[in-house]
Amino acid sequence: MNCKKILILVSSMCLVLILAALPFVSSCTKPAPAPAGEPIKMGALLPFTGPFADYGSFLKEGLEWRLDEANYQIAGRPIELIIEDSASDTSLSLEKTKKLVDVDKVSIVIGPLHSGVFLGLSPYLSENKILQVGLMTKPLPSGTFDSYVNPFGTLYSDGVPLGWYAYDQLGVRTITTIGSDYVAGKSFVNGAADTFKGKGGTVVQQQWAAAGTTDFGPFLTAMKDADAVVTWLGSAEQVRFVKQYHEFGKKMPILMVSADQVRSVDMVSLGDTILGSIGSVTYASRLDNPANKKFVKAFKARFGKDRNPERDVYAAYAAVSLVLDGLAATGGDTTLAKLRPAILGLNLDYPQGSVSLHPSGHAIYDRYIVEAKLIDGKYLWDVIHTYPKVTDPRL
Amino acid sequence: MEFLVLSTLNGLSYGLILFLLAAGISLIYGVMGILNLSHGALYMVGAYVGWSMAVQNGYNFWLAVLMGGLAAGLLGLVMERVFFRRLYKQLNEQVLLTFGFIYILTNLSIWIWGATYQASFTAPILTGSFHIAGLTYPIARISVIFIGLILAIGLWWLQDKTRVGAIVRAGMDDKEITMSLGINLGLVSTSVFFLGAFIAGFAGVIGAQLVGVSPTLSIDILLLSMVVLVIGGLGSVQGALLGGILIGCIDAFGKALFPELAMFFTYLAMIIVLAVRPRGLLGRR
Repeated sequence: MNCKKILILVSSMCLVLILAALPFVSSCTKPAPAPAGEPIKMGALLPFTGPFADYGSFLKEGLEWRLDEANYQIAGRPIELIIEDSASDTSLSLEKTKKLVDVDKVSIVIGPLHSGVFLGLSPYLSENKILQVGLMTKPLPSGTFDSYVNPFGTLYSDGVPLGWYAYDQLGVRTITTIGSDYVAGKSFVNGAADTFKGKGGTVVQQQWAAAGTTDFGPFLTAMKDADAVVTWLGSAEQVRFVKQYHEFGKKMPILMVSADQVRSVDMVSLGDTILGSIGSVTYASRLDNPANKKFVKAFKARFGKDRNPERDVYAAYAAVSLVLDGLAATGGDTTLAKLRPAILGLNLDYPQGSVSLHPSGHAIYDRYIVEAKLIDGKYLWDVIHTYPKVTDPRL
Repeated sequence: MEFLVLSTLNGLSYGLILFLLAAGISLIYGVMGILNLSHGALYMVGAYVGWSMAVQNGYNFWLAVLMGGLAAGLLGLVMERVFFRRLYKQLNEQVLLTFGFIYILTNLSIWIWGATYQASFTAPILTGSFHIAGLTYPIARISVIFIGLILAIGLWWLQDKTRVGAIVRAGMDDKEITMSLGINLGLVSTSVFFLGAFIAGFAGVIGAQLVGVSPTLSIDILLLSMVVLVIGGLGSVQGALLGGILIGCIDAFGKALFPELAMFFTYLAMIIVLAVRPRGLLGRR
């Protein structure tokens, strides 16, 4: 009797566990629709758990959407996508990457998102001649490895236009900064701060908050007065910071590197306090070019007209697009020695604008200054200025 | 002076949230010997339920606080009845199981409420900031301090001044003798587990006034509350309160004055207490 009960209990729990974990933690393999050639196996490391868990589902949507559009095939070869949870943890991600390479035999790995973890995996992927594709902007050292490509640029380069804009267009002469205390936060914020200093501005204070900071009260209490505050924090922390900033009665204009860390859905919860905030972005749904208009239309057809295409979904979509365009150029050849040069030689018209690639693997494209506005009853980042063909000055 | 006052208030408000979480873990471990690492996940579930009620459906904030507590309490009750009571004195299994629950509850929360961060929310009466002598401070944070202190007094009274508390303390000290007196310790354990989980959910909604709600809360908040427990000591409300306030203040002053060393100071305090007084400053044993 007792054994039976325990069996039923254990079976039920197993079922619950499997159901709970399926869409997020497990590997998800899409069957190839056409058996016309040897399958191209593509791995992706996305954060479904850990400090960047909020990005995972958006990135997954972008990957699957782009592959759906391609009908999961390119150059006559079917594509298999194998997704693993990176948990934004280097050791775990390395194990997952080894599994992708040794067991699943992937020839391309997209991600992971976390810049530090991304750097940690690069040597292994380079040694194994596997193409590593960046999700969103990545650190400069990625260029020292020979297996890296990215439709986005360096983290540092995202801050560069904001430094220019603050000094030249907003007349800001002093800034205080706050960023996440790891490679991404430091690169993003220093991109803006160094450029701002180069123009003649003064950085009165730089604060670094540990990734995952929940309470910014201590930082706000110690924050010095300046003409503006420049920030880059993880998505959830950025929203938390903006909310607490206003609660503490701070009045300096907020300038955000990669402002779209605050997604449209987050802007709703911040309400009117976000309006007037200015930032730099790589992609904005309000970009006025034919590729973006097509992209936004297709996004709304797939995900519903109430949703706005965010940078996360776009970054994953663009990463797959870059791979597919490269594979089209090589006729489906996934050999790193052929695929990477083919990608580096591409000139692309993507929703973010025209894109070419630097030999380091980082992309060169226009950067945009945006302002948070309420447009047709929706909070959106609207493009107010464009800086053409921005690159990382250190490249 | 302004810096001193604001930093102390920051330390108290954050510290009292940590206290609420640590008090629940401490009670449950003290009475049942169960180290529930998924306590932070119960905090997160409470916060999400409260957010869903107050923000998504527009119910009264205080009702949301109550429902957040109840949801976490009931969930804790199920976890205790179905799993934990089978793992008495099996620490390794407890750690594995409760850590697994963190993942399950986090993913279920992402499933139900989405992966994006939800900004902090509070009652209309607590919205905004007060301004005294040139100081600006959010009213909601002051309310967190008051609510935390009231709960601390209530829990201390319950544990140290009532018959139920005496049974709980007796159960912590000697389970067998307590049972030999004819006391149904199983019922007491279940009630304490419910109370601990209820406080976690309650704290989730109260804490959401400061830090909002996100799926990563379960881990973010758990680590510091463990430090609070080590410093304050297991099994006493006063210990959890002292530990919470100490860590809150070390965190607040550390981040403001030496941001890159703030985490170091937090763990340094833990190491010193472990070395000098391994059972914590006010631990029962």
